[in-house]
Amino acid sequence: MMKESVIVTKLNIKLQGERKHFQIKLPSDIKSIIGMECSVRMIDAWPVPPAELPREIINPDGIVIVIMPEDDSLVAIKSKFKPSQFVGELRIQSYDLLNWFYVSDVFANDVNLNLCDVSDVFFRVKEHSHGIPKHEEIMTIPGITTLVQGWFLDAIGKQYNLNLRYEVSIYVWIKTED
Amino acid sequence: MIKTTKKRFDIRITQANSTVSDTFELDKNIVRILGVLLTSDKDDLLYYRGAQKIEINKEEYFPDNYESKLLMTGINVSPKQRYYDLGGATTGNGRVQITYKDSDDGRTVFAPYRVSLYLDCELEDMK
Repeated sequence: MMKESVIVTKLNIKLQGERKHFQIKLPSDIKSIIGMECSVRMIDAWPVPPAELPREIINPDGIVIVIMPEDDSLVAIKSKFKPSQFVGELRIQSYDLLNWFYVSDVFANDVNLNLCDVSDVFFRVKEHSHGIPKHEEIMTIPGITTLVQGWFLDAIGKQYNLNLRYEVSIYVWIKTED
Repeated sequence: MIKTTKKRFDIRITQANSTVSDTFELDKNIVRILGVLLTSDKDDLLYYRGAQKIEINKEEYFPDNYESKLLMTGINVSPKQRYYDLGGATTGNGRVQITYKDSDDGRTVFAPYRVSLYLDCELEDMK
């Protein structure tokens, strides 16, 4: 009988621009790698991107109205789109024929969940309340290698010019014979 | 006759950076677990701080440090699709163990919270 399971590996990043090399040991009865997933946990306070300035509108009768960015429904949807926080780059390599089989940009969260959500004014859209289920990226990496290796390169620390401490979790889904 | 039922088990996290483990016993007539789901009374703390191991019948389904956010869903997901599909785990001795670990995260401030483990179960109706 075939069995699916997941191996969790954690990397601790401490320095800006740090490149962390790692190896993940796989069980000897492995048949294939069937999925990959990764996520980030910030140990230090999350860096705050520069705030957007409120927009001022002057009415024909001379009254100035200030609209905060989050309440600005007049702004075109595309100008409300913001890039998600890019944390770093992850690459994983197998010792088998497929070699580099997983390359991914790691993002902290999806900051555009509230795009086009009309309820956002009354029920603020957050990942933990409005997020969709997270699933692994499905793939089939056949082979019997019991070791994969790779590296993670920090980007967020470099962007803010800070030594930010955070933890990157890498999930390798595998299929084994029970 | 096979029926489905939902079960809920709670644990309380009262201290930051602590590990809480608990074992729950299922009804004898529950034969399979179709899916799992995690929720909390403080969703943000569970989402950013939580990780857990889940064992059913002493078999590990989610290993240590498997983050809670991967077993959560939001209100944008239809209720029928919220459970993480286990493909029908056999219950065996009927014991479900959760070992939950809370860890600091830069986006949250700790306050005591509840973690609820929901199980989508299949039971054999004896009638």
